[in-house]
Formats: sequence, C-alpha cells, structure tokens
Amino acid sequence: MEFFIREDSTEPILKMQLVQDGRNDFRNFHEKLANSSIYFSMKDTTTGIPKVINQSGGIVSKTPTSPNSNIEYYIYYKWKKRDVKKSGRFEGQFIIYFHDDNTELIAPIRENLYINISESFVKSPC
Amino acid sequence: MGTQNLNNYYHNRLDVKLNYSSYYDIFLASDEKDFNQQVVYSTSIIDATSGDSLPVWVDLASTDCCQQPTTNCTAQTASSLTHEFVIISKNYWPKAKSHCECPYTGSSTFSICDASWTGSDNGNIPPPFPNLPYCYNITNTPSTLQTFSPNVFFKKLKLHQIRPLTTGGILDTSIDTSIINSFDGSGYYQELRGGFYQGFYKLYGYPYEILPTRPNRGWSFETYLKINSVGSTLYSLDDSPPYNGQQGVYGNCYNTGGYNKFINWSGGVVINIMSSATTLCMEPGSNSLGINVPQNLLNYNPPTLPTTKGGFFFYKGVRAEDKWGFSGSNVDTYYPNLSACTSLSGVSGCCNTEELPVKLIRQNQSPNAQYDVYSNAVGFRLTDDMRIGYRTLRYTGHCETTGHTDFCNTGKTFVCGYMVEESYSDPICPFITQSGNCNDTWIQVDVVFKRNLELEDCEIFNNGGINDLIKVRTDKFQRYGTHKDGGIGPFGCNRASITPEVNPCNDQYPRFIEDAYFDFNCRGAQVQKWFTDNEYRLGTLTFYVNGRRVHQVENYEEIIPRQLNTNKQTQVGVAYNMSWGGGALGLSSALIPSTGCNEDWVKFTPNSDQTLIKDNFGGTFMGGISQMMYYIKPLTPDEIYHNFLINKSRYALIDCEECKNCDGGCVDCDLLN
Repeated sequence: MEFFIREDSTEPILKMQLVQDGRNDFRNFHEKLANSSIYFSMKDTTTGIPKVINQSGGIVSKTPTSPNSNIEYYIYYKWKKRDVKKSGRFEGQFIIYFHDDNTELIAPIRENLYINISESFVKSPC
Repeated sequence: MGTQNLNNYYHNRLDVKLNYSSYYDIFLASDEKDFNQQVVYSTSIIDATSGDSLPVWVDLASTDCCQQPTTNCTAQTASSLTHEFVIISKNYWPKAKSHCECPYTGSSTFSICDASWTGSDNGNIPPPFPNLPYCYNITNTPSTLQTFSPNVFFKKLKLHQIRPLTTGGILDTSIDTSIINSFDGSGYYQELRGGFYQGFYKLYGYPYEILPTRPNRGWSFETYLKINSVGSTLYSLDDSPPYNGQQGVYGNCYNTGGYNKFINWSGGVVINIMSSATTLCMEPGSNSLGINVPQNLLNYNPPTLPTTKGGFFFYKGVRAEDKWGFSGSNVDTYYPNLSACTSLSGVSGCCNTEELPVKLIRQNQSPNAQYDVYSNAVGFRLTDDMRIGYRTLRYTGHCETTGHTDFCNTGKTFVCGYMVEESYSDPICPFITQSGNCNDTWIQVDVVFKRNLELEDCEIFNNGGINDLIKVRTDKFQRYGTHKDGGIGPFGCNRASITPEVNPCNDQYPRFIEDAYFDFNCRGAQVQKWFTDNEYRLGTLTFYVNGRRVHQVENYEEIIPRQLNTNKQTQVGVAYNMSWGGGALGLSSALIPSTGCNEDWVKFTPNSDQTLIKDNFGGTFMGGISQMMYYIKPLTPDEIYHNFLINKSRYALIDCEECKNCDGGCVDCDLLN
C-alpha cells in the first residue's frame, strides 16, 4: 500500500479501514474499536531509523449510509509538521489496544504500508 | 475398504490453509472526506454552534450562562434567604417555541398565571398572595433584566436553584440546598452542598416547548463533575486489618450522600471515615443513626442509612406527583375551603381565546398519583462507591396465572404495575477513585441513549410514543379524528374559527382532560398498545467517564417524558423537567392553601402514593459542577473522546484506560492533540 504526501504538508491525513472480506465479524471489530487506543509508528525504509514512535492516532466515524446502520470507523493519524519535514520513503504501522478484552493488534498485517513523502518547492507564507 | 490413516492414505497427507477469519486487518482508505470532520479538525466541542443538535450548553465560567454570584454557607443557609441562582443555556433549539403562533393581540409577553398553583413547590416562585398570582412569563425577546429572572422564560433553557419552602412560604432551613461559588484552573464553577438546578423545557398546553420531548434517534448528556476521591492515605480509627488505611476503597471523600460511610467494593466490608463531612454547609449531627449524620441533606429525609438516593447528577421527567389530583392527603383537611377553587379565569389562551376555569382539586384521571410517574422519570447517579448508572420507575405489564381469561392465554390475566429499574457500572476509573487524597478531581461524564430505530414525524408520537396511552373522549372524537362514514368536519385545529374555543389551536391537541386523557386501564386498548409498541422504545444506554465507555445497557427502554393526567392549569411546570446536580424534590416541599383558594399556604402532606419521586430521586450530587451539555442526538464514541480532548487541559482530565497501561500509573499520558 502506497500513501503519498508532500513534504511539510499535514494533509491528507493517513486513514485506514477494516478489510471486509466476508471472513470476519466486522461489527465486533468496530464495537471493540470504539473503546481502544491507537498509536502510529513510522521508520525510514532505507536507514531503518524511526521517524515517528508511538504517536497517538484516533478513530473517526464514517458518514452513515442509512439512519439505522451501525457505526463504522476509520483509524487515522493526523500528521504533525515534524513528521513530514524530510522527504523519503517510510514504512508505517499502527498498534491498536482493545481495552474491552485487553488485546492488541499491530496492523496492517498482510501488506506493508509505505508512506512516500515527496519534495515540495513551495513554502508556507506564514 | 480398509481403515484409513496417514500411512495408507494416498492423497496429500497434510495440507495447510491460512484462515483469515481469526484476525482483523486494515488497509489504506481513500482520501474521500466521508467521515466526521469535526472529530479530526474541530477545536471546539462537537456541534458547539449548532442548536439543532446541541440546544443546551451551560458553562458556569461563561457570563452568558451564569451571573457568577459569590456566596458562602452562612448566606446560603440563612432563613431570610429568598434569592435563588439562575443559569441559562448558551444555545437554543431553532425549532423552539416560546410564544403564541396563533394571532395574539396581547403584549409580547404571554403570561401563565396558573403557575401559582405549582410554582412554589420547588421554590421557583413564592406562593401567591390573595388575588395576586405569580406568573410565568414567556417571550421570544427577553430584556437584559429578564435574562436571569426566575419567572421569565424564552428559547434558551433556564434552570434555577431549588428552594424547599414550608408553611407561610418561607425557606425550609431543615433541608440544606446550598450552592457555593468556587474557582480553580478551570475557571469559575460551583460546589453543590445539597443544592441543585432544575427547570422545565415544555409547558403542556401552553405555547412553550424549547426541546423535543422525544428526539429522532436519541440524546446525549455530558457534564463535568468535581469529585473528592478517597485515597490510600486516609486513616480511620474504625478500620481494622486488612482495611486500615482504606487501600482498595472507592468513594467520594464527602461522598455523594454527604455521609462518610463506604462499602469496600471487593470485600463488601463497611468502612467508616469520620472526618470529611465538614465540607457540608450545615454541620452533621448525632442521632440514633450514629454520629456525623448529615441530617439536613435531602438524601436523609427520612433518615435511613446508608442512603440509596445520593449522587443524582442528571434527572429528566416529571418533577413531582399531582398534589391536587387525589384524595387522601391533607388537601382533604381543607376540602370545605378548596372544593370550589378553580384555575384563574380571563383571556388566557393563544388565538385570544377565553379559557374557562377548571376545578383545582381531584381532577386527575389516573387510578392514583403513582401512574403519572411510571416510565416518566429517570435519574442518573454516581453512587457512594463510585459506580455510575441510572434509576427509573418502569411501568410494567405481564401475564399472571389467575384462573381468569382475558388478553392472555386461558387461565391468565394481564396485570400492570411498576418496578424500580436500575443498573450500575463497576467502580469507575480506579486511577482516580483509589489514588486520591481527598483532592478534588474533575471528571467528564457522558450518558448516551441511542434508539435502535430512528423515528420521524408522527412516528415519534405514535410508534411507542405517548399517543399510545391517550384516549380521546367519544363525544369529542369528531374534533380530532375522521369518522368512518366520512361525516362532515371540521376536524382538528381550526385557527380561523369564529368560536376558537370549539376548535382549539394545534398546540393544545388534544386538550387534557376535557377532550382526552391517558387511559391506564390495564386491559384497555391503550395500555396494550403501549406494551406492544415496546420495540420502538428500545435502544442502548451507554455511560462514559473521561471519554471511555464504562457501562452499557442493551435493550434499555427509553423514558419518554409526558404530561400529568390532568388539566394543564394545575400542572404548570411540573412535567418535562430537567435537573442538573440532583434529582427531584417530589412533593416533599409542596404547599397548599388552607383557608381560601390562594390564602395561608401550609405544607402539603403527601398521600402514601405521592412519594415515589421523593423516595427514589430525592438526592443530590455533592461536589463541583462546571458544564452541562444536552445533545438531541446520540453522540458517537469518537465524538465523546473529541470533547474529552478539547476539555482535557481545562480540567486536567486523565484517560483512565491510558493510565491503566502505564507503568506505575501515569499522570501525563500522551494523548491525541
């Protein structure tokens, strides 16, 4: 998975969602996610040096498709200026603590998440 | 065919297939903005400026909501005290109604002077002098002076400090309802020392409705409470090993009941802590129940220990039973003087209608006073041992084997009644409640009700709503319904009628009790429909502390506030109430006239069926209050956590789950900015 963002830009936010392949109980996942803590880490793929270590992420509810539908969430990380100061290719991972059953999940599992921070030639006027 | 085993089976002997069903995985989502953007980007609380979803937001630190009075215990407990604190909401519901919609030629203020009959029961207004009623005045445009006036109401919810009165209309100093001003890093706030705030958001039959009685999807209540948690450093002579030092004790130092008695959660061992009731305005005394009994608190009247009524921080529903409606109380004592009393006469309706006076006493249509409380009151509380939950008086119906045949199967009868329904969490956030040293700690509390089904328009009233219980009198049916044979109307509201009294405005649809009433006949069609429609009232009730879920009640049946089963004139301001920091007085401080219809007010002595509210909700939260929000939508967990993050610095809040995972307990957990 490839995520692209410009150097010094805090948008777009990094947003992940559950794989709904018909194999898991996705409602249970969202129920557990509602009472969880989420942290994000990111390391440079070339040097292996961590760039972001256990910074707090969050959950945010998706816009409901119908009034009576169950709530589903995205997992997100909102970039800070210092995270995107340097261009390069990074690998990111989330760790999710489920407080209901005291378990933790490190994801993504099947496919790595790569964050590509590309150079920018514009600077903020502020 | 011989027996198969691994040695003689000629196909693949071992095959492995990765089973994806046992774990969850995530993938990168699109950049689409199909999510709640306030949660990610907003720097204020959810829907801060939207009255459509947040119609009530009271912040005591804001002068828009509170005049920020300064006071002390001496002033609050003085018998000469007449002033009550008044607070108002910053926001209002855009659909709120606080004036006549019909053509009305009166002044811009609509007066409801029948408020005199009930308005003094919680100290909102004094009892009237002869021929000088105290009125509620409603308006769309209050003047500056009227903003915090206790008897002028407009679109913003107004709450006032309750004041128990006694014979002669003077303050009852045997009940401490003090509220003290205070200040800390969060700004101005108030300490409740037995007092609390209460107000109504709808006046049945009058053009005043500033909140929906049954929101489409549900509602949410959020508040910030300052608790004094018991810590491991408190000592008491009464404690014996292994409980000396109170390790493992949960509780509020001057706890929710004001009495220093705690029950150890794990061991069920009662522990007395003798020293902390000094924070009360009226010093506790000694009586047959022991020493340090806070006998002036509402919770201890009548005094029973330990209290099961303390800690109500939010209450919704009817604030008292109908004191006029039934025989059996001391209204009977004064019956010769009161039997001919009526409500006030004169032009008093919208559309310039002259409303005929109605009789004051014995007009309630319910079998007894308790019926007005059934499924019409719910209180949320923090118990003495720091568990959070709710209490309601649920109207119940079920089949019993009796040998008769009715609506149930052969040999069974459908019987109705009520039950006290409550549910509580485990002790909340041990990091706060166990590690304190009677230091004040702010917590954010959220209560969210989400109905399983979203309802629209008429469904709100008809699907499990209060219309289920309403019976329109047969002789008045033409006014409200359509005849099967297509008979000639008019039907319903007709504002332009020459005789508007015949066709009332829609805000009086249908008029209680002249045209309709709640029919509580247990075997009647109305009650049967009420119970059959139960599924439309079901939902999930969830409690959060500091943004984290601590308790969830599935299939909770919502409480839909409704009016009393009597004339509108004798119930002004009694139904559709909301309390912050306490429950309700019930009829414990009600007054009735003794010699004339509005003369010589004496204390009301309730009948045995007029004490349900006092007995079950007559308690208060002891501690600090700062903000309250009432949303007319169910907040989602991410929205609640967002509000937690917004107010985290102001109140020095901690995330109880985060701290759970920190080594040695963490004070400053790294939270999302």
